[in-house]
Amino acid sequence: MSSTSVSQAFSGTIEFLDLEGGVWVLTTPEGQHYALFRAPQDLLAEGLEVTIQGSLKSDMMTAAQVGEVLEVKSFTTQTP
Amino acid sequence: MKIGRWFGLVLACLAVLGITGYMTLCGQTAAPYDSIIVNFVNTVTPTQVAAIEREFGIDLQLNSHSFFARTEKIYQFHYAPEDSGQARRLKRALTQDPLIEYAEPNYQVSTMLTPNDEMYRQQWNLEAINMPAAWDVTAGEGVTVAVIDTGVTRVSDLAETAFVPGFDFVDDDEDATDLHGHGTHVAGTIAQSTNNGIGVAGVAFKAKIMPIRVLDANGFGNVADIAEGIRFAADHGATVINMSLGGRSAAATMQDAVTYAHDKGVTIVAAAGNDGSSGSSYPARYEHVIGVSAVGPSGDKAPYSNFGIGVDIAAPGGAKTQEHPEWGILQQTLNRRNPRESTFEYYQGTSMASPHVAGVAALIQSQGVTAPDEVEKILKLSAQAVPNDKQNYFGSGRLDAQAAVVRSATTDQAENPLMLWLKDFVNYLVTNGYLNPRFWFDGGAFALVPKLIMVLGGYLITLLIRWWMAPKGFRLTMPLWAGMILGSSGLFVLQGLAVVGLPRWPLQMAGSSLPELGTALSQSADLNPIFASVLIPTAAVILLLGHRSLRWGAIGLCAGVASHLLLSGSVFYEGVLWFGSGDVWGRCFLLLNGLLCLWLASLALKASTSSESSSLNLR
Repeated sequence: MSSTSVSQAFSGTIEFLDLEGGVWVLTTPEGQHYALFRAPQDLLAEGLEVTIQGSLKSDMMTAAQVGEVLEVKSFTTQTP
Repeated sequence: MKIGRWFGLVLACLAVLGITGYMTLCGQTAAPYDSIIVNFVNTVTPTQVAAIEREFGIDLQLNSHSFFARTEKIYQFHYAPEDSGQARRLKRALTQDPLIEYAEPNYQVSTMLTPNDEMYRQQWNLEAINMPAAWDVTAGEGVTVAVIDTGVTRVSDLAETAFVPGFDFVDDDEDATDLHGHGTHVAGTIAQSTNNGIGVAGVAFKAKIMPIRVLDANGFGNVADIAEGIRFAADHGATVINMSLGGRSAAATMQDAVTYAHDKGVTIVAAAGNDGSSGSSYPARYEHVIGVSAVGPSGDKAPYSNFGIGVDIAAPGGAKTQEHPEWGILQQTLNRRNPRESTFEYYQGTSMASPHVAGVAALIQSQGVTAPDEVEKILKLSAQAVPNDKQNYFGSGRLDAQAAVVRSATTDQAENPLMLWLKDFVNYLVTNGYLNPRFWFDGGAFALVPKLIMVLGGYLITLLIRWWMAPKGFRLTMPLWAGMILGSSGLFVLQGLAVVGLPRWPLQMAGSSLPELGTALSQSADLNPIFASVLIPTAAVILLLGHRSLRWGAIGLCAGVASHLLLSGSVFYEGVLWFGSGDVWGRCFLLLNGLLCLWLASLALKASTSSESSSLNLR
């Protein structure tokens, strides 16, 4: 299926938005949001600067309806 | 002249479009009311009421058979629409009578049922859509609403709500218990157990909930499961579907499922999405789906709510702030840290707005109106229209449960079949938005009428110059038209085109006139005084006057900008950047610069005429 894009790197900040009861997103420096699908627990920390290796899932929908769905394959945190 | 004729034709077409759009907007007025509520003092006797009836020649009836109407002595009388002047006079005369507390048009009628749920007072959202008056008529008896979501858990404040069996498409079993909380909150807005002394209220609390689980414990789900969920709901007796979910991509599987359900008589409602951007997500954007944007307690669009294409109506979705969490929507849901516990929480999102509309759709259906297109029509026509909604934040307007219920109770009686057919056809055009320019262009991103007048203004100025100065070598050439259009309106139609996947800014820029360019990207209605002035036309004249054909472009630009500035400074004033809040200086600035542009156009014409004649002399 072409509904999953090839794996790419996405950099930005992890944020918890108060929408729909609360949702974790990756926010890029341009302000683009990505909904984090299959995110490991240690990724979900407010303000964490990360680069996520993952792919966009266009055949998925969400309750939160914020940004495209990004399936997390792996991630690295930026050293401060 | 050929170009001139073609342009005239295009203008005429645009004018027709503009007029139909305008008529559509005018048609979106509030529902007519033809009765007056008369509230007597509580001690009034039937004999006294009968005496009043004789004195004023009216037929008073108890407003409803509710306990409230009987103890509060609320009566009403009807009048024919043509007697509305007479009715207003009667209303004033009745108010003078000592036995009468007040007489007022029916639409002002106050709370009929105030639920006794202990936190009902915190549900500003239900008051905002006139729920109490609607409940006096119906609470959605006999209608089944499918909640296609994270599942629904039967928390304590859903204990008295009727449920019918649903399905769990995530785990493929019959247990559609919620493992997230979102679906339980959404189901609460639709049918929270109401008037049970605890918790909060729901819109259609006598309707039955069909829980359909398609989203997992983290709120994610795939299109195939959701499409199956839609078909399941349609096949198992649901007549309303709420989908507080979405994604950015269209999918044929889902569109087919939506069409299937619609053809089976199901009204489908979905949330517009929370990116705060133009264009709803899917499924809200599909045909046959009522897309819902969100408003906060002020009635303004919530900052997160999507708008534009796909938004059919607006409903409360909450707009929380740090200081005011209670500006969200309060329902019972699951504790996110421990989903085995329930809690009452304020959520915000278009997901919260959608179930308000689904609930009111159930109220309409319980009144006997079942065809989905009819239900959608009633929702839209009864909504409180929001004037000047250029970006389509609100669709047909803000949801009004009372007006919807009133309208569904008085749908068409028998009429001439031809008239019925015509009405149906016009309704079809209106309901589907075909008569509305917003259907054709994203969110009515531009105001058509002012733009047309500005182009016409530029055209008239050019004609006036031609007639007045009769310059030699004057022809309606391409550069002249191009300059005039750039100056007056830009290719404004482009502003509305939304090409999926393309950035909007090139179209925004191309669709703007020169005076608007300074603020085109910020989409601000205010004008930037550097661009909205004689400055750039002057530069154009200086640079291009020497060129044989391009100088006509500069002259056209002057005429176009003059038209834009004179009209913006007078009838279509929106504001000028850096000029503060008062209108006077901004208007003066625009008018002065408009006049300067006119003067510049005539100067440039004189200069070019003389150079034209000198070049002719040389030959």
